[in-house]
Amino acid sequence: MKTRRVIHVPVLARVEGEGGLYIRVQGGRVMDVKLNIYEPPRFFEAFLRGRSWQEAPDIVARICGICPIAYQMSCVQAMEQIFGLTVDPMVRLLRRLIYCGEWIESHTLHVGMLHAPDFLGYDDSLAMAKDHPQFVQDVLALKKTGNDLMGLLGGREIHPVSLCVGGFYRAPTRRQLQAMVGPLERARDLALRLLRRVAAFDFPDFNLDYEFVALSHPSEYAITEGRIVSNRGLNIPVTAYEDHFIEQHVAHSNALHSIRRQGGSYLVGPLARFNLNFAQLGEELSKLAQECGVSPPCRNPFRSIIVRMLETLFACEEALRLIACYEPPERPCVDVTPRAGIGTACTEAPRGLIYHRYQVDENGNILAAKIVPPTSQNQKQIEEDLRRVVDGMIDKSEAEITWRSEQAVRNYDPCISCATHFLKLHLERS
Amino acid sequence: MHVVILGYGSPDRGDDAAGLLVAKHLRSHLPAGADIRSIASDGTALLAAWQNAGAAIVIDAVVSGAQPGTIHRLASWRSLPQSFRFASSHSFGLAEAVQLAETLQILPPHLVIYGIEAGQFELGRGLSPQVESALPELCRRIQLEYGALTSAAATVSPGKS
Repeated sequence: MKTRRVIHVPVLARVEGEGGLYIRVQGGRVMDVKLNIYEPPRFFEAFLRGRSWQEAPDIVARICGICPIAYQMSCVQAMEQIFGLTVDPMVRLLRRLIYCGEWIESHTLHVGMLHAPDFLGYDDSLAMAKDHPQFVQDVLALKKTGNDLMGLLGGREIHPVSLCVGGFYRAPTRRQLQAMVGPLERARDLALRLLRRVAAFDFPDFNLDYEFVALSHPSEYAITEGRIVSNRGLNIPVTAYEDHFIEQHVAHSNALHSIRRQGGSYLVGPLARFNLNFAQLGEELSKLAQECGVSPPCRNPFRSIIVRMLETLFACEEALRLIACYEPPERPCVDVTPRAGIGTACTEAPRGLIYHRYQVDENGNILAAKIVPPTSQNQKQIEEDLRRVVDGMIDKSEAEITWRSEQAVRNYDPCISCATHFLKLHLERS
Repeated sequence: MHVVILGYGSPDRGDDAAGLLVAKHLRSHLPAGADIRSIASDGTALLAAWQNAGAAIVIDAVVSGAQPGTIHRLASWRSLPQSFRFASSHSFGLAEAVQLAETLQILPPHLVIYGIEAGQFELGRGLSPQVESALPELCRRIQLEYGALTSAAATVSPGKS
């Protein structure tokens, strides 16, 4: 006897972007999983062609309203490589600081408003707020601090305007940064409270043998620079990225899938960073992580919510440390003399490794651009996770499978808009 | 009573810029101490912006099916018809912010929403002529409302200066 059942979730609202999910089950086994990204292609790489190096940071910021700094930072660093520029150490500090703001804002939004309802059993954060008002208030206050930090350094929270090739258009005064100390100290306390809260959620017993890929830096928890490393021996400079990772077009997605050149999926994001750079979180946070039920290697993607909040706490502490070290640079920006060349850069967006490559002519006009966002890199891994998740609960009700599948997708905080908005689940059983 | 005016929208999305432009205009037409803010972020920013305010006036573009440029004044959130929606490219906009604030009991005691009916939200297109020509009247009405709120506050709390 053949049975065929279809689960259709018209809108998965708690992701950034538009996509759908198709799962086919036959003979009690998952035969096919497709994350359909039907958000129209956005053509940013083509828009950049013919544009000046000066325009690039502001164009790429528009790729995402949640993580514009990741795009801008990768862009300016690639351009600086082409033009042979070295930025002032205080400019480097400010870049790490504004990136901390983006991690706080983006991670908190995802943990508190988008992912937590999956664990607490609510359809959305509005429903969750009725029963957990303090949790939501903490989330809003913490997110605001991240936004404020971005607004202070970037000129505004969404699509900041102060970053440029060679530095910043304007550097803050010490007094301006000092004003963030109090709010960041309160944010640190909120992050700790939220961390303990999410650590007490129930997590499914689910582990996979991932290849984790992240930047790694000799002296700090990598955010803005480093070498690309993995738990399977990869250790390469950013310039070698395309020798090891390729993009593939698959018919069901408007976002390219990234895979390892020799084949195979990999995972980028908080879990990869945590597993590869754990020691650099410092002794106290390492101990706290263990108390909260995560220690490397953590192979349970559902526990990424804990790691995300741990990284948020880290970002608050790191921001405080950076502010204490800050002296305004003599000049916020170095002079730029364009020259022809090719430059690459990777940074750690909240969702994971992001890669940019630009080729410019002698006037600094862009001839070619390649941008690989974290969600493109995670797509194939998300499909593999889903296959395993559904395989492990094939006899459960469709409602349960749907719930768990959506939760599994959100483990990756996917930004579908970046990769090319809503997820439709289509489960077919025969 | 502290009154905050919040112009909400997106500067690059056609008529969704209306709230921001009203806020900009009011800065030069209201007393220097008036608390006027432009918010082009997601709806969570509104919650922080009206925190501790005795009254908030929010201006946003809306879509209700009326003629573009129509001015709506909403003093009761619950009376909104189902078809009435605010413009937001974020999944969390003004409607969600009001709903969440109500749940968390952090709505300002007095909330007035001025909606201006939008005709289009096209990237980089600027305001529709009907919306643009309605802005002076919208600003005039908010100035009156602001004046009434602040003078009422002065009347009810004479001990404060």
